[in-house]
Amino acid sequence: MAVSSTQVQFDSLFGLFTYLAIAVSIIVFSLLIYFVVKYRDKPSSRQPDDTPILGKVPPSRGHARSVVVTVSLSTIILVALIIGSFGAIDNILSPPAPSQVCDGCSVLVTGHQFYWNFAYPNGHSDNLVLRVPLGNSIRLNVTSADVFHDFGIIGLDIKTDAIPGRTNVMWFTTYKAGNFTIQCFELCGIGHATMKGILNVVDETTFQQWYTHTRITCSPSSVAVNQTSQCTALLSDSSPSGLGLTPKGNVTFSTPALGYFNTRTCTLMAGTSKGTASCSVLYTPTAAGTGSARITSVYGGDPTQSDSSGNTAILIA
Amino acid sequence: MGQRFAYSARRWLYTTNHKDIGILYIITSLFLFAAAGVLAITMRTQLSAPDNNVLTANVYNQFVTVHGLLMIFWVLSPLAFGFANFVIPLQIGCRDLAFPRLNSMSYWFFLFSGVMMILSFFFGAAPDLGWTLYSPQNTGQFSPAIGFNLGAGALILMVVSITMSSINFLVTMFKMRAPGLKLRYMSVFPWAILVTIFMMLYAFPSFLAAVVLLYVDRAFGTVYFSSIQGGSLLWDNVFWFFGHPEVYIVLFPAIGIIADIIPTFARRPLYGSKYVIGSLVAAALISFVVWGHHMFVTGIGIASTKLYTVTTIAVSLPFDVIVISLIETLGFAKLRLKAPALFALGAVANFIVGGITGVFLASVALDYALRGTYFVVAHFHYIMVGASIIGLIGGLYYWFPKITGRMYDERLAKVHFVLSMIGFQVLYFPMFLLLDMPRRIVTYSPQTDWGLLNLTATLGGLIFGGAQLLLFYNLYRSSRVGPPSGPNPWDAWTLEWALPSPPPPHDFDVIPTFQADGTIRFGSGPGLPNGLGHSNEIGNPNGSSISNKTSPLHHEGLSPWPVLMAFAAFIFFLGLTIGKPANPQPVSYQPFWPLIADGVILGIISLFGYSRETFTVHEDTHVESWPFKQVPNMKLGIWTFLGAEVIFFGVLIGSYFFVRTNDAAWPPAGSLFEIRNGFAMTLVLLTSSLTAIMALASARAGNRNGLIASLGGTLVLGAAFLYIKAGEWFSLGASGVFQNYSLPATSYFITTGTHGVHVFAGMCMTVYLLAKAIKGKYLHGDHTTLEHFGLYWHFVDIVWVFLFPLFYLI
Repeated sequence: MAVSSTQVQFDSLFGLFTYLAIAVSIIVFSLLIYFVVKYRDKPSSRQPDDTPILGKVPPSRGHARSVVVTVSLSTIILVALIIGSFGAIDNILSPPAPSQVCDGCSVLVTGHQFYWNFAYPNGHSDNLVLRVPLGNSIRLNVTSADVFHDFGIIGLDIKTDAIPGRTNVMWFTTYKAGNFTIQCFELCGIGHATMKGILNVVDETTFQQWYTHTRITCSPSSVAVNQTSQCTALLSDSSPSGLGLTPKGNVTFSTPALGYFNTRTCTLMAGTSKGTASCSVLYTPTAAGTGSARITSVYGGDPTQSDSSGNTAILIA
Repeated sequence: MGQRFAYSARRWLYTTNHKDIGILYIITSLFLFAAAGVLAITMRTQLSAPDNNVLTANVYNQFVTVHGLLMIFWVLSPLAFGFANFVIPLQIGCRDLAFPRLNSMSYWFFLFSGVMMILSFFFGAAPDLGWTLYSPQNTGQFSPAIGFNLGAGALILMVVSITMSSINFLVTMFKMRAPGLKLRYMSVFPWAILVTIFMMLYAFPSFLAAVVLLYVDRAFGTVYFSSIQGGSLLWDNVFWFFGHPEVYIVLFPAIGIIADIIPTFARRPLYGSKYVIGSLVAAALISFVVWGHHMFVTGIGIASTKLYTVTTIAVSLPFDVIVISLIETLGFAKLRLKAPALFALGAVANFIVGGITGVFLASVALDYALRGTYFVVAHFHYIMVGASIIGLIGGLYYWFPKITGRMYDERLAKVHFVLSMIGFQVLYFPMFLLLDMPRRIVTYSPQTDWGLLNLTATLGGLIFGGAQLLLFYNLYRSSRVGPPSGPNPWDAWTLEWALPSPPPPHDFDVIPTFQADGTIRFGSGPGLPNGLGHSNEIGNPNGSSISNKTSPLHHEGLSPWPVLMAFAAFIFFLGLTIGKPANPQPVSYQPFWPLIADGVILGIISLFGYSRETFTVHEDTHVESWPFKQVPNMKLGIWTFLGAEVIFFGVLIGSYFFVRTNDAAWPPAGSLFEIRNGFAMTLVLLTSSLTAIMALASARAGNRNGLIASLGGTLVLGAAFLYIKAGEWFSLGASGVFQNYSLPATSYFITTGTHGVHVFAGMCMTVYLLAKAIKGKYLHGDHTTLEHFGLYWHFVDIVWVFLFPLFYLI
């Protein structure tokens, strides 16, 4: 059973190339072997009458017809291969837009000497596991933080270069749950052989329950110095409404601005709709600073649910 | 004994004879073949089982890199050019290459560059990022080892050697063919060499530019390759613009050999030889527009990848024609399956597999899966080992009797063939099945199913490597005790077989002439016997003794200067590259000045000796020299050299454009470099071209004072140019541009610096010319040197005409 759309596509195109290659090889090798066996020097063989002799440039022989036939037949085969390749490459290089893929299915992949980092839009980041849902199109933005790497997933027959300063998009649709090895395919230093990761394809429900969002709202959103605002972190997973798994655990708040929280950590309490939870802290700015305070809330996750983070800004009058 | 040794050492060190140099090339490259092969077998041993510990990742990466570099640059090409050196002058009926001392210098540069590459192991670490040296890993930040600098220096020396060699062969083949020898009378081997030379001339300058840019980045902290705007893709473009033609550069000589061997042993003329030659030319041309297929997965855009898919797939067509023609040659033949023929046929078989799998990789869609896997490794080894090395070994057996005068052991050679072919398939075919295994990994996990295929490949490697011992043994032993071969053991038709084996130092007593019907005649005699005879008379066509006045002189043609000059360049580059890091961030290196000084002094001495030496070059036969009929050898050589320089500067300017288009924040014209300075330099340099023309005119008119004055003027104007330039550099340095190289500063310093070095070299030539002019030279029709200098000087000025607007005005 196929594991991904890219594998299906590769197998069919590679199959086309391979069948034609075998057909061509059989013809050419038969011809070569037949000629060698038939015309090898043996007592009965005739001396050709145009044998080149020392002291004379041999007369030219051979028909243009042979060239025309060779080139024409090859061209027919090659055009078929080009058409097949173009169809496939159009597909490879037409990734769905980030808005067209599922929640959590568009991931930034960054190569480092010698590991892969996977950064999700919800703030979750992992240096080993790329977790994706089964049956969905996955869009990866691939880049590098240091040297030239190449991001490849063994078994999925797809890879792309990870180049500093550039982002290459790669996409595929998962057909099979399980773990696949991610490996670097460009020599990048002494840790090249062990620069691996794991593609973890899980069923869609598990993924949706795992993939959480942290949203933060502060009220009032505009305060004076030394006036208090209540900041609430609202946690949810990405399941369709009513089917979610309620996040449990703590949320931690922080800000680079001058000010204080009544407590930096709060414990989540289940919300009214299934699969949501929230908790609040109080923030008090002590100086106007740049005129706003960015408040970040980080949910630490638990064994079944991913960490995530969110932020908002409070205007300080 | 001691005296004989001294004589023999002197002969091999100082020789300028093309046959001696050919032998030196062949022996050196075979030695390096063994060395690079040992690296390969060690790596295969490491990979024979998962989680193996024979090599650490650090050592493995060095081995994988140096193995590739050595095999490509120091084995495949030089082995082919060893044959070319020995055989081409014989095949085209001349007594040596156009510039014998330059030829000797090419060899010594090649040898010292190889030594330098191997030395890199002993300075920290040899280059360790694959032969493609991808950026930005090649910068000082990621590869700080001094050994990498040595590697870069070795590559520069190697390119210098290749450039000298290509110019030499090009002039020889266009200017020195025997009377009546039309290009279309040449067999495929000389044609393949000719096409290879053109590819080398236009591909290697791009590589040189890449390595120079890289070296300057490493040594002085400029940022072409460490910047995001340049970086990986700039390197990819300049490297692969060279890199793909390079694949054909190492392949074509082998195809030429195969296409000469097969007809000889089949006893029939090559089928469709003009189509074979046309195909070589076509493939060479297309090879310059396919480099993007090495960058399919870098994200260069859908339109580009489609275009490169079409060009790359199209390049297979000429090779189809070549393979089919070779096979058709066998029809109604009387094929003698001697070792050269076996190796040629084996190479064709491997080439078919390598070529067909190349079409897979030409498809951008498949490349998205196959890139960086063992499928790629299998493919290019089928070409480079299966076709090139196997074909070249065929050439080794083919010309061994000509070179040594003795026959190799045919039975041993056949065993060698069988083991080589079996070992080769067992070694490389399993790699096609390792579709998922990344290249260049030191080890792999036991959880993969790669173990068995890798073990098989390793066993094949041991068979293939072991088989080559038979080759070395056979060559060594047969060169001493093999039975005499006679002049034409294979009944071949090309001209080298008309000479005794080994040919006398001066090759031809009488230069042969080609008649309109393709008959070859020696002197006014009745021509050759029908070539079936083995009598010595063929070797000595009209029985005359050495009659040409240049021949005895050439027999003695020893010159100590080429080897000294190469040695000077070697220690100069060693001094430049073995210096300790001067600065950790950004990494830069302090050169080792004593060695540099020694190199410069020795270089000046040998240059002086070289130019003072009376060395007669035969320029006796160039009747048929289309399309350069009216052009003297030296001038053609300089034109060719300047052609290579055009590519070199083209790549420098192209790199500037590349980073400039990628950099949104380029300072506006006039803000960084003073237009006034640029204008002044332009004016000065253009005036100096005028004085250079005046110098030539004065020399023609026999006006000594005019000559001295205008040469002096040229010198002063050159100095004025460099003075303004230096002033600009110093003021930019004072304003801090030196300290934090931005891309504008990087491109400016490197491009104008390289141009400045060219101006300086021109001034050195002017000093030399001035000294001679004061002694009264050049006034009596002997002004060709002035003309050559003028060509160079005008070229350097024209380059500036491009640089001025690019850096100052836009």
